[in-house]
Amino acid sequence: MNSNNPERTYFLIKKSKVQSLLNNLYNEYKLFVPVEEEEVVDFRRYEVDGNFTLEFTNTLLPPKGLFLPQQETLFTFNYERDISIEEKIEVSRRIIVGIRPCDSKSLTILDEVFKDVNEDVYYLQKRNNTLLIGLGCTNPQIYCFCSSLEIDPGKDISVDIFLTDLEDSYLVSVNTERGQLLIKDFPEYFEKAGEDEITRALEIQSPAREGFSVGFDKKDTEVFMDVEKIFEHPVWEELAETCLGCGICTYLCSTCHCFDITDELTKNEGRRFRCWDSCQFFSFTNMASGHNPRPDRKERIRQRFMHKLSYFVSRYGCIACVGCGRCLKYCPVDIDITRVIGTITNE
Amino acid sequence: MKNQSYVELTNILKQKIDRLLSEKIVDYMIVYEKGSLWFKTRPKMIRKQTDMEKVIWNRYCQFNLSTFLKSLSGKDENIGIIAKKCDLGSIVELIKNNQIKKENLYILQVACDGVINWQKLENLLGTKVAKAIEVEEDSPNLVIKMPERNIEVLKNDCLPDKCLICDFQPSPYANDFLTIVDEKIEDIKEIKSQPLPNLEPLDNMSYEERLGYWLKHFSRCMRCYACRNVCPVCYCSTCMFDGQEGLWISKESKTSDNYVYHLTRAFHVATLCVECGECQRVCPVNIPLMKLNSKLAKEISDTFGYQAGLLIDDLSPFKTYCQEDPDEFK
Repeated sequence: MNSNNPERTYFLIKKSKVQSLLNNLYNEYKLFVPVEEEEVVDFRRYEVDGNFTLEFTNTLLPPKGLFLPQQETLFTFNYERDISIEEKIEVSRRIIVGIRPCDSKSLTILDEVFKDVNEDVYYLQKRNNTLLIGLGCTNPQIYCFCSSLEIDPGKDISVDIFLTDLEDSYLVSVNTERGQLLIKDFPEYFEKAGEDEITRALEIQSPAREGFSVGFDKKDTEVFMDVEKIFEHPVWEELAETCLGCGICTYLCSTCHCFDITDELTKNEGRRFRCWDSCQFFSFTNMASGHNPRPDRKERIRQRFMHKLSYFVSRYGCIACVGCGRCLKYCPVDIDITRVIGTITNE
Repeated sequence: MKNQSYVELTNILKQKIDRLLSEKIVDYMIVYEKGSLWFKTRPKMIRKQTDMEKVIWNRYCQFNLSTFLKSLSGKDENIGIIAKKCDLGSIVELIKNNQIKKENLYILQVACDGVINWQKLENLLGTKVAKAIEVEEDSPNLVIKMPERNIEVLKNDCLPDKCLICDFQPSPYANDFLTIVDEKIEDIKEIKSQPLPNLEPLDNMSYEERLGYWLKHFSRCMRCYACRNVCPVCYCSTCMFDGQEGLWISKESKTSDNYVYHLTRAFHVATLCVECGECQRVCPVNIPLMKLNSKLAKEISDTFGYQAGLLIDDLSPFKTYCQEDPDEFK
């Protein structure tokens, strides 16, 4: 989405100045920041002097919801005499602060889907209007496995601006022209970073790449390209025995993007909305005729893994997983994608 | 229970299950196996004796396995299941409500003196439990071994509410009760009688405050339906919220629709809910669902003197007629 500027520049911002910067940005942008509420951190709209935290592991919900909201009215219509249609497209300029490298990668994966053949204006408009300020991980969670997917938790050039925590300040790496312009607009907050700080940031970034507890060798996922070979693998039956068929893994996944579209009608007007749906639900593939091509948990759970590791790769050339670890952390029955890959490969 | 006791219990468990499978007393056994991370376990169905190595029993076996008994009607298999005292309650409800036949079931109750609630432990430690290496019991404390140091916390502070009122005694409905002779095991027979802080804050709230409280929580719900699917007594073969013909609530997860979903579910499982707490435990957005379920259970207990999960022959007040039932509509 971003026009990358080959020349990366580095600045410093003191942690104590971040709130004041956010207050200033608030005047021109819709801001989304990580906020902790009921022991859950999520991206929420920032209000002047509002709460936010940049000391968090990761948000419960991935940022996909800021581009593909759980529910979104696409247009409203009125057919009293003539039919009139009003499209609902988000046009405001927005900034997301504190997006982790795995999650920013998930957005580039989603872009493939929403710009494919038919451009999805609802999603793309929001992507184009949104500036991303990334935040490096210094301490991955025990559930994380982004390194298995060749994502660098300490460095991210796909965001406009990337922050590395240097204890009392952040090293600000500016990746894009949009990022440059933002820094230029608020010169009072940023000072030029010296070689020392850049080196220190590199030192902080490198240990982040180690210490993963789970994961896989990316080469091991190649077996998934042989669909015929693994379509009837016994692992699907085994997973289906304990899978509860809830939507946690798909809703919390940063790359799962399936949705349903519904019209809601009253007398002379109505609206069309879309909302998240999950391949783990029976109703997802249930046809009007009553036939369901994925009638049981086995077919449904296989679909989720095959979509991520096989079908998506065939179509877009990349795995639809970023190793954020949310599914692993929250699955009530501990279904673990890294173990599924291991089970199939080790045969 | 010491880690060593869990190891010994696991060994006895394996022997018992081996016998159950080899003598064809059960077709398969619902057990726990080790999870991906050391402090997790996962449910597992064992059909072959060669899978026996996977069986495990430890203080992380929180999951109520009886939820896997609810969708079996029509299948004529003999099933063995590992159950904690608390899980026996929902098994009783499933038998009582004709979801499974007692004669098809072999219940292997295992000695338990409480499972660990990670959230409570994390709140106590102020740090991610994932950072710990191991947990050992030094009654009445738990010793959390961290990379740099050990932290001791009172075990009772880390237990789910249900463990605080559990007597951990053998259930009359268990086919077998598995325990080891150990002084520490004797301790678990001591009945704890801590008052549950669960309801008090809400009962003291005004109607408006309570409404606000629930609206705030339900606004976070994303309708993943994990609470419903994990619930052992949510056994309808087609849920009214999954219906294809006409929707009772919108597919959008708006607060008002979420409200209808959660209240309907709470009323549907009232008289069935044994307060196992699984719905609240699996909720990714931390909705305190047990406050709702416990409140209804208390109302039913106060009104009808009925408690779910105790006796198979004790029918639900919603399914029986009794002249002495209070009639408040007069």
